[in-house]
Amino acid sequence: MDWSEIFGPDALVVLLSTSVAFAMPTALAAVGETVAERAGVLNLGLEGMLLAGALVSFLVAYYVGSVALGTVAGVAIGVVLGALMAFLSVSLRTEQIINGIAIVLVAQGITLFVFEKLFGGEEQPTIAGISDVEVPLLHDIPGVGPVVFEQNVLFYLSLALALGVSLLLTRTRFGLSVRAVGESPAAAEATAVSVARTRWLALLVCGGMAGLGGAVLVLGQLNVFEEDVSGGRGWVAIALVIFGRWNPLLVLGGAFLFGFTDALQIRVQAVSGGIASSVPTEIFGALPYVVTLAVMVAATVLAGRDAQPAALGVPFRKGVNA
Amino acid sequence: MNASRDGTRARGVSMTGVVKRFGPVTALGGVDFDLRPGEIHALLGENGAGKTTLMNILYGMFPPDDGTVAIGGREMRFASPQDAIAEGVGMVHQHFMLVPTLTVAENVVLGERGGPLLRKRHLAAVSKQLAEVAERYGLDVDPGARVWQLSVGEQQRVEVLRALYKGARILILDEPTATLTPRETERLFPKLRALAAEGAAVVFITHHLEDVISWADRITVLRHGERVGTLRPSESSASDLARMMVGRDVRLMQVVAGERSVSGTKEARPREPVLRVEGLRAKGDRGTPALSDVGFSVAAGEILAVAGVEGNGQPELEEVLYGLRAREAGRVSLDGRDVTYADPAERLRLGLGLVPSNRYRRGLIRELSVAENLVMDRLGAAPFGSELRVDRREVARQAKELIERFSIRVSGPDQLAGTLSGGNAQRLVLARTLSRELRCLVAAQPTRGLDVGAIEFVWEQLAAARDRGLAILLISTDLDEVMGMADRCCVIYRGRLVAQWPRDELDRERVGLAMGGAADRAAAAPVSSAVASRES
Repeated sequence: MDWSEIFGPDALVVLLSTSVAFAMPTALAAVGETVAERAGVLNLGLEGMLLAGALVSFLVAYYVGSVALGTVAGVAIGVVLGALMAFLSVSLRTEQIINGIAIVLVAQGITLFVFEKLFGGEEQPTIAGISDVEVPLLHDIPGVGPVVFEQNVLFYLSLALALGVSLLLTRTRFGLSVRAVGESPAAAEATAVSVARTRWLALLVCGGMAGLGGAVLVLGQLNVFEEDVSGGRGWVAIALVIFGRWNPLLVLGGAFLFGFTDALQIRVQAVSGGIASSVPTEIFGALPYVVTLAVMVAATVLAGRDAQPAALGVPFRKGVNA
Repeated sequence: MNASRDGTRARGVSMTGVVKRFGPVTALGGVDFDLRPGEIHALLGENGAGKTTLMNILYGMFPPDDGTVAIGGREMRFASPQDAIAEGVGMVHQHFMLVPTLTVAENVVLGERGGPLLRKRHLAAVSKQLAEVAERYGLDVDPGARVWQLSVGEQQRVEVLRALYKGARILILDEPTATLTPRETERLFPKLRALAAEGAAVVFITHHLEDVISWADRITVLRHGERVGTLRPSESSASDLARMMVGRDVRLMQVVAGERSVSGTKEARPREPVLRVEGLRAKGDRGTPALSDVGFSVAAGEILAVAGVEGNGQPELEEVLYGLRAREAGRVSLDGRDVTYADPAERLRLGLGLVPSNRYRRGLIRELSVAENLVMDRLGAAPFGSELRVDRREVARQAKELIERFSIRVSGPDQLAGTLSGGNAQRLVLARTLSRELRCLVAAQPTRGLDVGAIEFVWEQLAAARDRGLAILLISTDLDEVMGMADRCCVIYRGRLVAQWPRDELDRERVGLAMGGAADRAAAAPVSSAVASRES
């Protein structure tokens, strides 16, 4: 195998720009999950939100023909599922783990059912891809420019939101409330921060980000919908949050590592002859998951001090947790 | 700044006929309370007397069912603490309402109204203002420090500072001295005095008579939700106050201590050590060192007190001794037998008893009945049946007997243990533990949070157990308890035993100094040599 076909100067730009694009759905979901968990809610429904965002955005784009409306619809369904999670976990204070898993199972069942009902037996429906846009000036930056600034519009939107929501935690009053509510809700409530309101908002943000992730995956990259199209990215995102120690920038870094190994394994498969290769393709397919988890586990073990929000997963009832 | 509030004008509080019910329980049955600007007012009472409830009403946590609250002559109806804060009321809760992972300044900004962005400039301005207020009242606090890095005393100053920053002129402190070192307590009150001198009204809730007599201008005593009286410290003695609190004569520490000193002279001859600990090292929950090189021995018929401020390794010591926490180095032996690796069941069998500091978590099972809790360490063998069968009748019989002997106030043996008050829960734990054949008892914070009556009971039980020949290790943060009970006393500071004294050299001030980390100034005998000389 000729490694210069992968790591040569031109090939490397292709590899890296695919990496960041591939990373985006996971990155969005992971940053959203970070917000939810910093507020003290473990949202295991992420995979379901991603999947629902993917289907709904695909259907709107397919039938209406508008990628923009599709994206909005994807975000909207994510917010709706975030609201469902908030209603169950925050308002009714039921077990968060069960709620999350239920949302994933329901989303998996319904998306498959709807998709089969609409397109079962037909040829796989596709939508037109969206073209890349070069950002003036920025794409001339050597190295970074061709990798980051020659992507499609959804990529730019995602990048801005991923970074923006990361800053939300440290730079806004809402972020301060989120951090307080996830750490000691009783103290937050005593200083006029509504725990319920803050957690609701955090879950809406989380759902919206996951829904957008689904939209970006389908509309910005694959242009098709298929069973289990999210491919466990939601679960990877949850793992990234834990291994990224609830620090949104570390979590983003983890997501890009995931995108990189994903892009790399596809490239290696292509260069080494794809299916004809003696190595089973499943090995390559598993690579991003294995590498990302290995690196993040190592990072966690080395990091030492516990960073988990103290009230993560614990429902709050006024006057009881005080 | 809120326009409705005049930040400098001194205003008093007048609460009249305040009634508060929680379900069937009447917490306050028509209480009058008045608080004047410029005074430090102590609110004294046993647990459950209604002190905190009364103050929570003043702070707007919940409205009274009947009666009125007036500030500066105007009647107030607070819907939330925010309303009370706007009227210049501030409260420092017993369990601090601070987010440990945030900085001091962030804790102050939290919940504040304002634009969506949290600007660095704003935080810097708040920090500066906080530093100014801190300077003015001598509450040295670094606004940029993260709360988890601060000591308990510092966190309390943060709470006071936050209340003052928000414009409090009526300051409520709930049990402010419960977790402080004696030195920190002595630092706190002069600051409160300075506040009062500027026209603020300060009220503190307590059941420590000592604090009341030393620092209060006036004292209001509550009992069972009624006001017993309001008086000045000069008009009353500690025993008067104790009687007002409890409603009967209380035999306080002097009595217990007096009995003990009699038995102490009787037992002057040295006895063989029962519990021996050498070179103990262990980590805390966060993986940080909690105990290092801890060594001591406790002889039959003596109480060795381990004094110290909370957070210096006491829970870890308690857990390691009972086999609930792994130790990294060191040995523990009981009656000459090495039990370093023994599990709790074996230690129990060999005669080690534990009165755990967290009585609801370690001392009993909340979901089981009082009767089941009383015998659970003996189930599975005669006389309570076999491993396959529980003789319910025998359980009930023994439980009834223990309930009577230890005066546990329950509706019946079937009441769930989780519903017991602190004092009764502790009676249950003592009843179970002391009704076994014991050689050694580890009593960790045995009276923490209890009212005077229950404290008295616990002390009597410990003294009686010691006189029966038990070796007792008393881990305590309460200096009164240590002074009254200890035959020997050592001090734990940052996981090390830093000082040790025999009973006749015990000095309140020196123990207090050592608890605060100034062991060298306390000029005590080095621990290792003291232990060695005792064992030789």
